Amino acid sequence: MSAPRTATAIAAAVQAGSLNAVKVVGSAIAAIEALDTKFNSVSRILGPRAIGEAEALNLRVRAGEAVGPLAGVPFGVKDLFDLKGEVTTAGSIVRRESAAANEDAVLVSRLRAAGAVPVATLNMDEFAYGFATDNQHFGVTRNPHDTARLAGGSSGGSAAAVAAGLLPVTLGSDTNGSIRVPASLCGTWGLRATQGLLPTQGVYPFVASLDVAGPFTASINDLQTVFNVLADRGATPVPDVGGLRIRQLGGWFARNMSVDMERGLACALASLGVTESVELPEVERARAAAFVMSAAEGGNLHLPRLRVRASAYDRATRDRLLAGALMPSSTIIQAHRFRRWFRDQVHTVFQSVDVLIAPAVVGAAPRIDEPTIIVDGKPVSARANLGLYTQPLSLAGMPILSAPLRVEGLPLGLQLIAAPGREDALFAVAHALDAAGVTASSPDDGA
Amino acid sequence: MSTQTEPDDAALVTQIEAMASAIGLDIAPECMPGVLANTRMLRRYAALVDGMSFDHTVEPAYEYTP
Repeated sequence: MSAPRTATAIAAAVQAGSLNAVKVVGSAIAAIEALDTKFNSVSRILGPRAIGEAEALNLRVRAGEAVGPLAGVPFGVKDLFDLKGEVTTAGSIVRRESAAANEDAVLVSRLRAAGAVPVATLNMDEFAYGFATDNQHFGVTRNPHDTARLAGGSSGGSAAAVAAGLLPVTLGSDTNGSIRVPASLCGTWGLRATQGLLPTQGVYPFVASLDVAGPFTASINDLQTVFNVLADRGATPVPDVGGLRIRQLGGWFARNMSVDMERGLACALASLGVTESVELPEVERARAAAFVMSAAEGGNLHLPRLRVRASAYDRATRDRLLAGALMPSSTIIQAHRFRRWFRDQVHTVFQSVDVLIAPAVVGAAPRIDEPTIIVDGKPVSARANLGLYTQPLSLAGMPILSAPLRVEGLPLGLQLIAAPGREDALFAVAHALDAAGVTASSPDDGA
Repeated sequence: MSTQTEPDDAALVTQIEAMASAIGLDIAPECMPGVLANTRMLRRYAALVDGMSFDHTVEPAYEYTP
């Protein structure tokens, strides 16, 4: 029998005593060492520390303790989560000399309390500013489905490590789509929970107004289990999907899709019996407002260092942050006023709809040597535009689940969007899609 | 939406240098092409944002409220 691949299957076997946590963690580290030279998803392996934690966990299992729903599950974190005793680089050599973290990020603590073991930090766009995970200092993360292509970003290491089968669970962050874009391009599940639901203490910020931290997994069952742990809540019932009002998100979100993306979306809608669509107003302005807020808040956050050490930054990040620091205050305040207005419009839509479905990306992962996507018939920068469908939605704070489509060829993903606090509705739809074979969960899911 | 004509590169560099000076920032020459390109892109997004009219009751949403 082969070793289980999903978190829920690993945890069940470890808790039952049929699988040794040290073996699980050791195997994950060995796999990273053997395979990750192809992908560059991992920036640091936490070898001795991880083995020590696994040994301690084994002792607790042998003593008959219930060690948690993620017993012995190895996980990795985007290198902007604090891990006690480690320097949080946020993907930058600028922070390499910073003091080590005094304590774990809250979400790391919650995973560890559930029995999971941190084994690696993961590559990212510097300071989470980009959709490519092409880092001047730490290299580009390659898509496990085709190493000539981007993994997406900025949580590209988190998505690629799961997609490559190196880790069953990783953490990332999503400001403008940095979970949803790489999850879709790498074919993993991902979740941007309701803004503010999952604590961001100990997560290096990018844009405080929009930042959300969240998980990547290889299966929908794992995503739900990990979300419940991260949200510090027990298993919650999922509503009957038949009672949910599900609509396609049209307009902006129905344009620019590749043929394969259109086909995958149509398949998902058909499996759920969805025939109606709704549109959100002023989506282009919503994306523009998210751009403005990101540039300005990022620029302000880094301004003290940019004044003295701009040359130490990744060139692409540096120039974006410098330009952002110069944004006029009136435009920034206008963007925040727009956010108020846009949220009201979105909340109104959710009075008559439970879940919206939209593409997460226009098409498959761009090639690394040609990092462009086609928008309105023209090639545009992938780094700046891969968030075409994700960025406007960040502005409204709703929970959004990224679901990997079961497609021929390179991975593609959907966004399932619900009203604030309605993650349960997202899981209901995701389980229905998975049961219908529309999405792609790991083979031993549900084991 | 703004109806202002976009400044040429030299004029925009002058504006960038003035804005940077106002916040104590010195932009090195090797950074200027990238800052120029990003400033042009941000100005297009800013024009969209600034082009929206609101009632005076629409306050900035600095905090997230579900």
